[in-house]
Amino acid sequence: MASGNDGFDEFATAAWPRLRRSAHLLTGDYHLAEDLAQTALARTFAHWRRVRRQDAMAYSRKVLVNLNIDRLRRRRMVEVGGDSAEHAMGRQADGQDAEGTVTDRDHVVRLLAVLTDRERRVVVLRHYFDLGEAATANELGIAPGTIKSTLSRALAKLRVSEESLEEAVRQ
Amino acid sequence: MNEDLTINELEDHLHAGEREVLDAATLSAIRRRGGRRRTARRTLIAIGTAATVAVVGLTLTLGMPGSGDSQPDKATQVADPPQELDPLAEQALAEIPGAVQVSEWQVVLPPPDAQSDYFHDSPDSEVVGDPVALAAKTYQGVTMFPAHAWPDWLYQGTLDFEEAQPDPPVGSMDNGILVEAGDAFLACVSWQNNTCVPALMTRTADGQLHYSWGMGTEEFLKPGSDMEVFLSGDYSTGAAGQLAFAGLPGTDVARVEFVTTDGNVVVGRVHQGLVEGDSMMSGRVPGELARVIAYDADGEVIEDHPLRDCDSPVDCEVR
Repeated sequence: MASGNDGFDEFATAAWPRLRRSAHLLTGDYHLAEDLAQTALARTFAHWRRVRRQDAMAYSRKVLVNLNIDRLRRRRMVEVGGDSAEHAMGRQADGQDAEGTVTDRDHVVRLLAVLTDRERRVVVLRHYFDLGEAATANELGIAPGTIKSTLSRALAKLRVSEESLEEAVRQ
Repeated sequence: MNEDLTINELEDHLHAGEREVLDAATLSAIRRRGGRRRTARRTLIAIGTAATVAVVGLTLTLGMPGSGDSQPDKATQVADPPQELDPLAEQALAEIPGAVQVSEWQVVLPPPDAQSDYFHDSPDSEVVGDPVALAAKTYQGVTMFPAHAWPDWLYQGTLDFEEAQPDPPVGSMDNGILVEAGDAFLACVSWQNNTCVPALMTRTADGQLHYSWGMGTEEFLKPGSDMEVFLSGDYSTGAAGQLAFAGLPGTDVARVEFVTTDGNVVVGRVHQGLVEGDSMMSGRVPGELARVIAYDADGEVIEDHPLRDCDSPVDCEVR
């Protein structure tokens, strides 16, 4: 018999790696990322009947990004537990992830730690989720021009090559 | 990665960690948390339409909807509360810092460092005017909070208790374990710009004010209608009591008395202006409330309102 939850498990399974990874990129903390991704999917499940008719991945992504913004605003962990983003990022800067292993993928997390919260969000939405400039601006509620300048600054901090940077800014 | 990166290399690095697989236990936890949130939202929508009675009856466990199916319009009548602590409540009292025994069978735990899934604040709702601090607390069940907020034995033990019930509830306090959710406030809340209705609100530790439950039948505060009374558990004194609310149409009420079953009289507060053109009243009552008496400015009784025992655990209206 059809239920209002049909399709959620398949969606969650497919979306999990990206949500989990993007949360790690945004927070720099492995466990915090797990909690954020879980919370985003739990909220998606709560609204599944409506969300499944739309772009469920976009909905979950937006919930996740907003949860992280709320968390940073409050400067304390209310829903997901753990340390502040600064501490989390600081720990990553030591080169160890939460499991105590140093892997290649941690380098990018360490690199992202030098960015401001907004710069990190813009990089993740533009270059991880592959959103366009207008879509990124819309999702974050800031002007497209601000996205461009924020991205340019962030990529420079990440030492993206001049050539590539110009190409990125042109896009 | 000390050399300059290209955009493609950056994107490859960003995507490099997508190897996590969602395991069945995590998926189950996600569905459970989402389900709790959905239940809470349904409850608030039901309350927001003010179509049902939001009177919480003889259930001593209630401070917030969360017992039974979490529907505040379906009060669960507990005829004979237990005479002693459940073993899990006993363990919570012994092991959770700040836990306090408030009755023969109930223990109150301090708020955990995690937000309840109960609160679902609709962008369509708005507090009209100033909320009134009640110098009391609101309460929820252990499983209204994320599992990581608690030791495994407490969360799992409460979950086991709930799942053993015929219609497994979420956030039950019927095992005698209550969690302080925050400070209680009375406010008038408007939904989708409709006329505001009185509601119990909770201010959590982060300073946010959340809708807890609303009050009133369709006739509540209508001209000519009788008083309606609403109860919530109050354990803020360290003993079991009740936080009582009453409402009458018009602005004649100048004084209110809450009378308990053992004859104590508590002079309550009258909140004129909270609901435009009507009188809201509140009081913290030790023990159980028996009647509410509203007086006008001349000391004349406007209404002497005895609470009627619940005949049924469903749509139980205490008058």
